[in-house]
Amino acid sequence: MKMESSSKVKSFLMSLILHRGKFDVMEFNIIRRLIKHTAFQFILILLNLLVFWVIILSGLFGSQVGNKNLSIIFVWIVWWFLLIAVLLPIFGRAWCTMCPIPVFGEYIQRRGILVKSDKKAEGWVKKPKRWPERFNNIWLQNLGFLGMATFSPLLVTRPIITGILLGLLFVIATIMMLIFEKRSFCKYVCPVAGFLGLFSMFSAIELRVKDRILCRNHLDKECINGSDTHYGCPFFVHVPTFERNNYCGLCTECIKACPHDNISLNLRPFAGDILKKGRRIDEAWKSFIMLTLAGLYMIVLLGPWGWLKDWANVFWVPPYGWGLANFSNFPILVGIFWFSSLLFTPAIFLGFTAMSRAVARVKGISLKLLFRDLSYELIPLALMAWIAFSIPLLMVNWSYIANVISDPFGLGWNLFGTAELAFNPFYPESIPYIQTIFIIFGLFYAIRSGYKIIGEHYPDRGTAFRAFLPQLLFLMLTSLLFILLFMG
Amino acid sequence: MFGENGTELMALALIVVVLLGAPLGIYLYSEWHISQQVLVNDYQTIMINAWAVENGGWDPDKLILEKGKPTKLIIKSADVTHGFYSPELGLKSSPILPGLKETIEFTPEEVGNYTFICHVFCSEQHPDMKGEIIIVDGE
Repeated sequence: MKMESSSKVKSFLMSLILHRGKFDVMEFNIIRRLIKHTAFQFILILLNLLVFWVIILSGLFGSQVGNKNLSIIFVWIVWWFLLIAVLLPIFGRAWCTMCPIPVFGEYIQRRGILVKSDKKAEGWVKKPKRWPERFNNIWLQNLGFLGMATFSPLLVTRPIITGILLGLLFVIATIMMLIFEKRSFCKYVCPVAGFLGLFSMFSAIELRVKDRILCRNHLDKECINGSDTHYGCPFFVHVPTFERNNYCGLCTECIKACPHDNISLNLRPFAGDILKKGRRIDEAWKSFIMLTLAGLYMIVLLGPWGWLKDWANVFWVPPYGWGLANFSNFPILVGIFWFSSLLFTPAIFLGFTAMSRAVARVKGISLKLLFRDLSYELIPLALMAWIAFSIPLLMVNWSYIANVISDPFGLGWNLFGTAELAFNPFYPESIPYIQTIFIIFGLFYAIRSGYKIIGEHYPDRGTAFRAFLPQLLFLMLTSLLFILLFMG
Repeated sequence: MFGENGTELMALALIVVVLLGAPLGIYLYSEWHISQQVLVNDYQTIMINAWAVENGGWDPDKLILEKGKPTKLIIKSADVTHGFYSPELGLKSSPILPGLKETIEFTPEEVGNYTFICHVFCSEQHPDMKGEIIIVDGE
């Protein structure tokens, strides 16, 4: 039953400000019409395709001075900040809605752009294969992101490397989508989608069916199989029953395809998915990787230890030629990144989890399951740590954004008159305090989530409280470590 | 391959416009910008981007200047540290750090062809980093 306008606004505000209950934003006609429009996603993708294309060109052919090149500033400051601090916590995987990287492959796969094609795959576009079952997890994404992180000091300072990386992602995605069905690249390979999926469990938006009984009785399942005019879910999500944001790319195909208008886009309280079922060990490791890398990035990229940056500065790029330089300490840095993300942090966390189990003194609780489940409490803290890392990128370097908008290739242009704007960090003395606020916010949700997860294993309140104390200690020590890094 | 539906063609056309139009537009603007000899406050002003030879060298590498007209050369190092030096004209910049620029002002006095080079070792092909200044009679 459609709500009256004033009730709609009231519900929306209750959900938004007080974070109570859920509100289907498609109750607003304009939003529903926009999302259901065939061209909605296409327009967003086209705009981003233009931006990415110019970024690739500037990376490859523009000035190789990082702060004078659109690729470095727009990818590693603007896009990264908007993604991690705005899009992700509020809109979940909304980046995937507008990401241009898989679109060539998808349009070839579908043999169409906007209008659903009824032509079957023929000739050079063979029937796509199913993704191998043994890789039906996010380990490729975990390792891919860790690989990118290892080379991040090079990535975020060399325009040509950024240009090549983005170009490669387009190529890999396109090739993969000619071989494998639907959005296999996005679900199993894309390094960005890996952490977007995990952190979207915290976000304030979710896409869910409204009435499951209606879905159960509706056999055609256009949301999965597609309709005459729209495609089914390309992300392999079982729309009628899915409970978590992790693998939904918010492409809105299901919303368009559903003949009963039975899918909602809800505003909801933060961390809505962390207590949901379906926890996995690959996702657990993702949370360890992201938490660890947030700290390592702060130490290597933002810290005062120049020798660590030297260890990471391992490649020559044109015009000096391609080659290795200063290689002797790089393996140590690689070891630190991989060992701490994959082994050290999980081992420490396992120790604290074992303490929780020991303190609870309840038999029959699996340490492995407890470890896996409790790792999800780290999601809010890891996300806030990444936001805290990203804040100085914007506040210190914002003037470079104005410079490169006027002179994207660093060739002396001045399109909008801002090419010569002086470097002028924005209240840098306030940065550690802002970062601390985000960590405290993340700590709050981590404690809240962790206590509820412990309660799933130990229903008795007294036992749960006792068992949670080591977790509380771990979370507080981790938060304190981040705050010490900020404050210096 | 794609349906004949007008919507599909329009969508395809937009993608093609983006993919071809962006580099074309950038190239045309770049050529227009670099070829400008702008009279600003009675100066003929030329922007020169200094790239290592492996990245293209001087851009532009040929300057045509009017004799007797006050001139500003704005040299910008686009990739590594460069320096601008024309021994015959007695023009020399200090080493210009990457991303920065330096302006040299002078008034061309004698018609002729002159060479300019980079005087800061910038890459393996540094010795080949040369350009030409042609001073012509004003009309």
